[in-house]
Amino acid sequence: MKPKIDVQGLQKEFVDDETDRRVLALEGVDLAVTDGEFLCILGPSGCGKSTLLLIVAGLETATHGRVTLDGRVIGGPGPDRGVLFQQLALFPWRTAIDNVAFGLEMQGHPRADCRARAANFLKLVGLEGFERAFPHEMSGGMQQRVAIARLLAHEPEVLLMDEPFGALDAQTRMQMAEELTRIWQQARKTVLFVTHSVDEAIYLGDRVAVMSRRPGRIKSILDIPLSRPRDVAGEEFNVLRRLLLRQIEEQGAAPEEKTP
Amino acid sequence: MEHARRHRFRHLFRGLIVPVLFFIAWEAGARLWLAKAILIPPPSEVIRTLWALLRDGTLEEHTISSILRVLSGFAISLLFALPLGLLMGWNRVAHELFDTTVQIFRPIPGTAWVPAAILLFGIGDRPALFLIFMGTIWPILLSTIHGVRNINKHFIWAALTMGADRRRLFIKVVFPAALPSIFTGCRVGMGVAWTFVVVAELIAVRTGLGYMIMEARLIVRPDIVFAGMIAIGVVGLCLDWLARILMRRFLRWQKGLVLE
Repeated sequence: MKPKIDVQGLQKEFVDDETDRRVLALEGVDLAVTDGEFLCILGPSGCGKSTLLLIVAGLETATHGRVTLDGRVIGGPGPDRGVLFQQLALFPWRTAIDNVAFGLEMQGHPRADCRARAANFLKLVGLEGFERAFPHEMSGGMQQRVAIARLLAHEPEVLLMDEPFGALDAQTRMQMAEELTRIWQQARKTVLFVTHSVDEAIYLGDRVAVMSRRPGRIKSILDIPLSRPRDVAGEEFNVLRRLLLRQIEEQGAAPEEKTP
Repeated sequence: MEHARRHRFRHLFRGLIVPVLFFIAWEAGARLWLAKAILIPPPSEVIRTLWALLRDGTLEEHTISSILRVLSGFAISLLFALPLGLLMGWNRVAHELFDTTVQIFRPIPGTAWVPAAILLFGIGDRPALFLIFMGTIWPILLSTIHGVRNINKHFIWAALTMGADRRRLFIKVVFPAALPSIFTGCRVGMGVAWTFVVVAELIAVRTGLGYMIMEARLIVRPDIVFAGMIAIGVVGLCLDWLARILMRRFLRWQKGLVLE
């Protein structure tokens, strides 16, 4: 089967304008993501995994190599690839419902239509009744839900998530992972999910790609054959956890351990 | 609740001690050295004069013409500063084109324009408006540029991945994101405008509170001078209060809105 997203020989070099120092963030990254797959990219802080995601989003350009979506080379950002940032980037001047409606408005749907569809997506993430709340009036977990609703509302084919639960407490984080699994099982989108948490990666992914420290490379890819919803305390989960941790150790790059 | 109220009362009480002592000293001093009292009237007389000016409508007339002047000058400033600031903040070429010019004119204090204003426009409303314009354009312009240039890049990224084109990116994201900064500039500008209207009225026109106190000096009515100063202070306070109300109305979404 042809991959949905195909990353070929990607290299990214950052040049500091003032000191002229060059930093190689990514080197020789190859990655194929199939349609409808949930792929987690696991790596330590500063391994370039976010950069990889931004390049796929079209918000960053590669120094060498290319990324294709359905065989077409990606040249810039577009509504076919939704991005969930760790900072969420909810628009503080828009209410929850108007945040969710933004992508639909950009597609030129009539305003009432946008509102109605946005309301449905807010319901999907369990935020019925909070349509008119502003982001600063909501808790971190609620803002997260709004961001997910906004991500889904304009129906992108691919979801790119950059450590979206990084700022949440352990409990909310677990809850959001459950929720995301549920939503993904309904929507069946192709997902690229960047994280530094081993547990989160095993809990969410069909496959987990392990990245090494700078320059970032894909070191190995592990299949997660567990059925969903997954039991974080289960025997099989533990086996996979140990396996991933060993692989990470071998690379001398220990990511911080956190439960999803 | 009871405790908080007592605390606030105590705070108010302590705050009043110094001004009350000050007015007592002023009153006593003015009455004891009667010869000097011609030039420095006791506060009781100033208040009486203020009341008389209010009763015969003089004060209202001058206040209204000052306020109209401030609002017109401020509107002219806004008309120039807002579009130019948005353009300079958003477009690099525009910034490079105009920045040097701004840097050349900005450090010239508004008061230094007084002789030039009279040379250019003679006597009357036009030099007054010109002075207000020269004083208020900078805070509005600079804070608008600042607001646009310092926009959180994640807002722009999020909008781009939801399919915003450049025009809608500007109208729907950049402008609202810059609004708090623009409002802050306007509020500072309003304070500056009030300062400059008085300066202009001392020199160039025959109405307004500034004219009223300058005229009072010439006919040796120190009581009117001081009464006028009190009125100028009160109106300035009201203008700032108005700016704050507008800010609160339009920036309801902003967390921890700084009003002080």
